[in-house]
Amino acid sequence: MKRSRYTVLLLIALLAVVVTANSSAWAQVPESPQPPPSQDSPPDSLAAAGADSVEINGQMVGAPVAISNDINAFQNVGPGTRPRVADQEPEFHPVYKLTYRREEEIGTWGHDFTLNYQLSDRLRFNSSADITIKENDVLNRENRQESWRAGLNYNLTSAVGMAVKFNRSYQIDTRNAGEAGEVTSSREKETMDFSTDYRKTHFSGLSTSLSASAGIERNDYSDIQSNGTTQNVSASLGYEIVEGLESNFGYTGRHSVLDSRQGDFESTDESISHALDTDFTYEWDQHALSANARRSYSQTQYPKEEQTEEREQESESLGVTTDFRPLENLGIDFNFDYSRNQSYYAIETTKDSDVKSRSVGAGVDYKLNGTVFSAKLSSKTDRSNQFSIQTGDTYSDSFGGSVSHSFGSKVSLSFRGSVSLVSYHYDDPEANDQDRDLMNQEASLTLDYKPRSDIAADILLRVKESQLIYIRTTRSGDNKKTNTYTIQPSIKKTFSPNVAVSQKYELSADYTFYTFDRDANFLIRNFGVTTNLDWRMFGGVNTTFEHRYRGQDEGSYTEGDDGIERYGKSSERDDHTLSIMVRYKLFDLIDLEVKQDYSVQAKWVFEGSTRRLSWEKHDTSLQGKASMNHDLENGTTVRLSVSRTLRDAPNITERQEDVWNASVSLERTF
Amino acid sequence: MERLRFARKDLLVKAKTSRRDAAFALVVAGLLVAALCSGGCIFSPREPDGPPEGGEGDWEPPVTTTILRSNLKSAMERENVGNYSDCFAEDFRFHVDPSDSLDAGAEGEVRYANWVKSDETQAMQSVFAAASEISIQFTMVEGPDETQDDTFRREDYTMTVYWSSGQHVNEEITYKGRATLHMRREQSRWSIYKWVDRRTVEPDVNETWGVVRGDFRP
Repeated sequence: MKRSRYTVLLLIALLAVVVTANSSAWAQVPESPQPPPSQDSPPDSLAAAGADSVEINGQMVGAPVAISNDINAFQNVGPGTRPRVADQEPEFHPVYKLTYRREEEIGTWGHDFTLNYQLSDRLRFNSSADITIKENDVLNRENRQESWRAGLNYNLTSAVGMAVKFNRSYQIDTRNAGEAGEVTSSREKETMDFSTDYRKTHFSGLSTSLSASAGIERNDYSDIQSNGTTQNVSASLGYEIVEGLESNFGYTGRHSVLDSRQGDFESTDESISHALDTDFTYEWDQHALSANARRSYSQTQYPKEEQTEEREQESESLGVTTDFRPLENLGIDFNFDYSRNQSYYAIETTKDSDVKSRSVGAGVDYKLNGTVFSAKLSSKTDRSNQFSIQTGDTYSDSFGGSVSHSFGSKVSLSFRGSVSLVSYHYDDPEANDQDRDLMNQEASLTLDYKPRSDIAADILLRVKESQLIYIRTTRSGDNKKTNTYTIQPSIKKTFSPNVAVSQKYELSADYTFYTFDRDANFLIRNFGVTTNLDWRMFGGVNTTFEHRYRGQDEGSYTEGDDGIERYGKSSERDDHTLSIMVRYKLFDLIDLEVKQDYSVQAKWVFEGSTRRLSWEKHDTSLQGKASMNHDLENGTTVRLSVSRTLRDAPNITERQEDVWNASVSLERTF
Repeated sequence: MERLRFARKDLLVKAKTSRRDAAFALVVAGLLVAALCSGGCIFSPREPDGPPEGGEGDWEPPVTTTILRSNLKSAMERENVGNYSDCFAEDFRFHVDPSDSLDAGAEGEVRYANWVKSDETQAMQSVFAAASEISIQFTMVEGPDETQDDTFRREDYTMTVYWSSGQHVNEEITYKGRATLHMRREQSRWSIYKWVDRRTVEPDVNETWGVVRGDFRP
């Protein structure tokens, strides 16, 4: 009964809007005097409005160049006017796209079909169908997803529109297809909506929009079926109060009543939601101030384990942001944000939560000649009430800054630093011992140097420290600090437009210190060099040679007889990889690529002072790839890519020895 | 003469502008110093209550994907949310088995959507709060190529949880599935940036780890 009442009321409202639009907007058209052109209604805009014509009582009432106040209410003559189709024969161009992609054991077929047709200057038909099928040969699975959409949009006037829309989505996942253990899971959803909307932009800086829709919905899940009605309303108002000060207000609401069934359990589920939002923006000179607020409430009912679950959610948020530029080269910004999100469940009460969050931030940037400074400080507090031992507070603070300077066109230098602390405090430390602090600090220096046009060099120095501190003694055994020191120089030399050589080094040391277990302290040292040669040999042939070396040793600290802890290396590892790649464009149409990799990895372990080879691996791979993109004259686009990788290495599966990846895409506009 | 007067005026304006710029540079530098000084107060971590009464740490720097998997296992079994979180990259995404999402009915549409690192950490923290004992066994199905900085491991897992609260209170439940762990090496350390969870080929005897995650997503 309730469902019918809502639907009837909404349909009456829709009808009222349509009737009002028809009667007041058009009934007086022939009698309306033609107003003189004014600054508020420039001739072009007026002509656009005048291009409207509609059939009334079997007669075309066209070119309503005369605009009365009533007509104005249902017409847009300025910004915001609905896009209109010029007087021309509507064209019919359906588009079909077929794709196939093969990635290892998964083959994916895609069929996309779009048909949009402008039936007249007021009536438009839109439709699309997307079907994706994924087949996994190894797991014997198939996943099929279908999405169907169709809609008819009618512009009653340039401000009033109506539409009818149909949506259907279907997904089915089948495992062990065709075998004894075949299992399927599926989800199907169908909706049909009738809607009307009104959008009006006034020259006074006021814009309004209203929309309402009513429809039916049907859901079919693996073990739940439901169907019923839905209603939606939304309204928004935009107004420029004074020059530079803009405001927007909006409301959206939704209501649905669904008859649901899960097994033998039947229920009528009613859901409702409301959301209000507003924002203000004020811009003057080069400064800006903006504020936004939002509040929403929803109550959703759905079947859960043959009972009716009811989820109630309430949220509110407020944000203020300022951006000042007191000088052309100085910017200062501040922000404040507050939010609260509450969720309560009738059955799954363990998921109840009430989370409040407050944050403030400030930033500054300043440019002085070739120097740029910037800094940002932020602080956030979250109060999370989970109604369990998880209830507690989280404090997050961070600060980051950077300074960069260019010394002419050859040298530039930049320094960056950041520090952050995240602190978790739980209300019941006896029951929850996960109270902890996470602290990170990082500083880096980058120098770019271009002494000549054919030489470019750079160096990066970075120091990073991360700390994990558990507060409770039951957890403090895991407390640790990690320090990482990195140096990365690189150089690139261009010998000619066809030949360039580059080399990149990386040296790093990674220390891990346990606060209460010093014997477990760790050190890892890395050294890497990557050498690259790019050579455009002739015509369309490009060749790349690359050698990568990575060396690593690791070990722990052990206390000597003298009571001093020393680093004891426990293992060493070397990786060498040599790659050769040749690219060629055949007939200016097909890109061909052949790549061969050869790598050797070896690991040694230290037993006392003895170094013993633990393992050695050789890995060879050969990859061939062909790809093309081609547009045919009849409107068909072809995209093709095929690659095959042959690999020979220990500890790989048979499937990894020969891998095909392919993709084909055909798109045709009829 | 007139030109000279204008030139002098220009110089005076430039001198005033550069003095003003210098003054603002000082203000900015002062703000930076003030922020750094205040940082000393804000960025002071707490001291632990004391030396450990529980077990000692068994986390190792994840310089190989095997150590990363071992850290993940020990973080789960020791219910250590800090170490668990350290196993994942900041841009981590979890992809549930399509059947798990479909079988969750109307809830499935939002239960697994846009699963990022904070969802992973919060969900597992809630699992740790509700579980009194967790044990995990991984069996590698497909190995990584650690000569690359981006690789994956395919692992079959069996996870047994003894629940002390929640829907299965005082029950021991075994979860099984296959995880494809996509991993990336940054500054010589590996972390997981994508977890693709799949049910095993066997008929539905056990639920997956993905179902546990979904049940505990806040």
